[in-house]
Amino acid sequence: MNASTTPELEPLRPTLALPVVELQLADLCERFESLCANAVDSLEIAAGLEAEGFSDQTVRVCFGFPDVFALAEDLYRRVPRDPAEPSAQPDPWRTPVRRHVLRGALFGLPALCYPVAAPMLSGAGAIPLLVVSTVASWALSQGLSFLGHSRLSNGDRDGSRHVLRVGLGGSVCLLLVIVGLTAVLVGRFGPAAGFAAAQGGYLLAATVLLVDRAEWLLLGALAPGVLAGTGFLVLGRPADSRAGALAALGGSLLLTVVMAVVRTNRAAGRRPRWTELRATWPYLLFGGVTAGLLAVPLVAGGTNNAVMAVLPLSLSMGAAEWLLYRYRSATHRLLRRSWLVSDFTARSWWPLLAALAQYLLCTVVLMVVARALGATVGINPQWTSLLAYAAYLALGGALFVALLLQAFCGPASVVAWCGGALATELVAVTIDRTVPALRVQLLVCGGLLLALVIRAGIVLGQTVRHR
Amino acid sequence: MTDIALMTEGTYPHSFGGVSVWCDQLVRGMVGYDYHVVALVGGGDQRVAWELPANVTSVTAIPLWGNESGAGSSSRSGRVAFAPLGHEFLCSLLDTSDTATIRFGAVLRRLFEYAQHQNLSAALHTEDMVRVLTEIWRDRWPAGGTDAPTVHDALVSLQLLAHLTRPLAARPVRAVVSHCVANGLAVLPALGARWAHGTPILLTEHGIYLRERYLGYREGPYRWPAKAVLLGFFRHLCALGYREASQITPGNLYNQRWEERLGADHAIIRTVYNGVDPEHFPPVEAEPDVPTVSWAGRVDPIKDIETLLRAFALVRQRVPEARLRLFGGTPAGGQGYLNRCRALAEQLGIGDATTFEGRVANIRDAYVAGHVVVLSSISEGFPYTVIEAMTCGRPCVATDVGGVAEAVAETGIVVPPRDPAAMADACVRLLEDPALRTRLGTAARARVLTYFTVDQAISTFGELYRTLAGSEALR
Repeated sequence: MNASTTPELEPLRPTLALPVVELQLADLCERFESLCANAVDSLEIAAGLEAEGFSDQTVRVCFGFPDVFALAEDLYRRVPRDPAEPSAQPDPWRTPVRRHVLRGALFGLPALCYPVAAPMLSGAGAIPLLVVSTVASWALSQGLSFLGHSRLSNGDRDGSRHVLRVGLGGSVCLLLVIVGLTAVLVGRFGPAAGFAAAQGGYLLAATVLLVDRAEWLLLGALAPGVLAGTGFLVLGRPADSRAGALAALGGSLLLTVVMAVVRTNRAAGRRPRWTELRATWPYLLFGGVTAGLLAVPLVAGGTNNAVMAVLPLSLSMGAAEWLLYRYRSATHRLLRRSWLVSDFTARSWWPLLAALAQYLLCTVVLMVVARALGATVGINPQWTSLLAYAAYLALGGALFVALLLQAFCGPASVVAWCGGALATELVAVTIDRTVPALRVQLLVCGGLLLALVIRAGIVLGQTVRHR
Repeated sequence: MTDIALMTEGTYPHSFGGVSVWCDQLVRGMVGYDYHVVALVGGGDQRVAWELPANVTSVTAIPLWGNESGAGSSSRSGRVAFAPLGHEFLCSLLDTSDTATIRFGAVLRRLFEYAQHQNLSAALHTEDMVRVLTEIWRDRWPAGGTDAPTVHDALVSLQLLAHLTRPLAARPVRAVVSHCVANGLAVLPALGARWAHGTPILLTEHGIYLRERYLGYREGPYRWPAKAVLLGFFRHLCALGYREASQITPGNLYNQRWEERLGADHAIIRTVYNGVDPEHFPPVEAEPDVPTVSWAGRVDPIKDIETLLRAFALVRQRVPEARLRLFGGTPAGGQGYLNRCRALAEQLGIGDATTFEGRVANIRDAYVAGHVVVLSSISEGFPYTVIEAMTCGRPCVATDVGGVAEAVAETGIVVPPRDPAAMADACVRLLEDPALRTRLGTAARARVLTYFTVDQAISTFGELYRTLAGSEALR
């Protein structure tokens, strides 16, 4: 494959040192400069020459070489390697900002519906019902979202819709059973149980539409409920308009479910396989634990004021998704600029810390805006205490880093950490009921954030995590 | 035992195309043999596209992409134990010495043994391996610079190698002969069967696998260092395939040059031409009303449809009413090339006279549709388009690649590839001379009936199977 293996070249060369042939070869070098400069070996040049119509016969007649391979070897020696950069590939992680603003809105806007339902949710037993439904539906929606996305990432859109439809049916049934059992346990039926089931059902149907990239459809479905909820707040919560607003909420729920079913209807795909279902459990756990972390201060605090504290955090999840794309894009560029693994590992902290800083900044802005808007409609500013800000900011930061880790390493790696934090909070507020739940959350989530950042810094410093 | 393992890549029985037609002819012709098809496919959800005859007793699809199923376990200790083997593997890929193929063969065999028990893909795609590759590279680019390989190049290379070596994890098939219908990756499962059970390898080549990889990677998205690693893998693998094969049967004489260049023993090479079933391609009786040039094949850059379009633009200057009809499907991912071709036709001002007709149910219709059948490829083995058109009695204008000149000989016009003017001259000559068309068409059909019938190919392979199986019994 090189000169030493083709001894026939040596005796031939001197007889070829005719000026005419030399000129012709110089022409060839010029004509095939790009081919030769980019070739990894002489065989690549031979393949290129043959594709341009050179045959052993033409090479013998025109240049005096025994065959195309010999000519290719000569050209490989004459033209120095000077590889061109391949044409720039599009950044696979480029994503339009507006899509994430919309998704953030879709995560956050449902919070505006809660004040309408407030009277149903007072009294004993209502909070446990809401919490159980929230935890269960978050868990199920994470599992559902994983099932849909894992098929989408294999380019199987029909399969994704199929599994979403089957999953939606299954998880709604499961949710109804869980909420029903809880209602029996706390002895509270009627509107509170109905609302708990409805909010869970909405989340699951909305998950289907979000996975299927039907964000605008979901916005349309959500519009009646959100408009009614906002109007209700702006008008100072008039009691006589409550029934109408509730009907609008019901309308939004119905529209969302119908759209989710229609969108996934008649998608022919494989049934969910056992291995797929087994892979969902860490996602279920992650969703449940996250919902638990959000709920602890609300429950332990014993007020529903903090419900509004969750709003900016929900909105910030849109920013979190967008920053995740930006982070991937940044590390991708870093991989292309690093010559050694150690270069990358050392520099990989910067995009991580930058993404976290941007997320925290974004969330603070959303909190301030939500507070200002909340004040105009007379929402008790108690929840906007600095402590609440800090506690939810710490939680938001921890969830953002958890999202990042989950995207690169799967949920199993973060479930243990978040689960540990949730357990610590629960133990703390159970042992001493006088401890302010927000303070517990600030400490625990602050610790969780620190631990996750260190873990992410180490794990995401590995080049193989970035595909 | 009369079991044959048939190893394919990206062709039979999941896709259409020349090699798949050949496989279908082979298994249907070899009624006395049971075939176990080991098919390397893209993703895991590919469906079998061919109706399988009764003597195809099993089809094992090995997906190179998508989710990996049935891979060995991936333990930490297994990955640690892999480090020296992985290092040797990567070094062997960049080895250009005379003994490189032997070295590569030895390391590939150890990789096969590893993959039978452990997850090779996972072991190749570790931080340690990235470090190993970047350090091997650093020794070759001590000064760094803008050409130097990056961590990204290492990741891309290892990821691809992890996919390309997946067939090593498949359980070796038990058969009397492993019949590979291409060199390259399809040889991996055959090497496994050779190492595990001593099964002899019969290697049939239609096009030259390595040459096509070289051409494909020229336009690829990889930087030079990654390209060198990947083409190093293909070069060594193909050379190993030639050395390990007990018999090599290229589809044409021209291919032998590459085979021998890469170390194949001249004595074990025997050319077996593709064959046509004359009953499927009876002679044409009439010609179309309008002067027509027809083309049949996959819409793919290797077919160089651009040259055909440029040639046809020249034809139109001399035969203004001429039409060009292109028959054939566009493979998945090939839409971009089809669009480029359409745009070029518009730009050349032949948009109205050129039609892309898509896949036809009966390929003979494509040959019936033209006064002249054209092949413009830059790389071919022994194309069916040409011998089928010849069987119908249509004269061909075809590029001088692979075995085309052997197929056409004096019964058509062979022109250099990428030469629109020569192709146009040949087309015009035929379009303007009915007597010449008739004379060449008749000669073409006679040539096929004498040399290129499917029965001849089948009986040759029957003989080779018996010889190889016999030599196996004597071992």
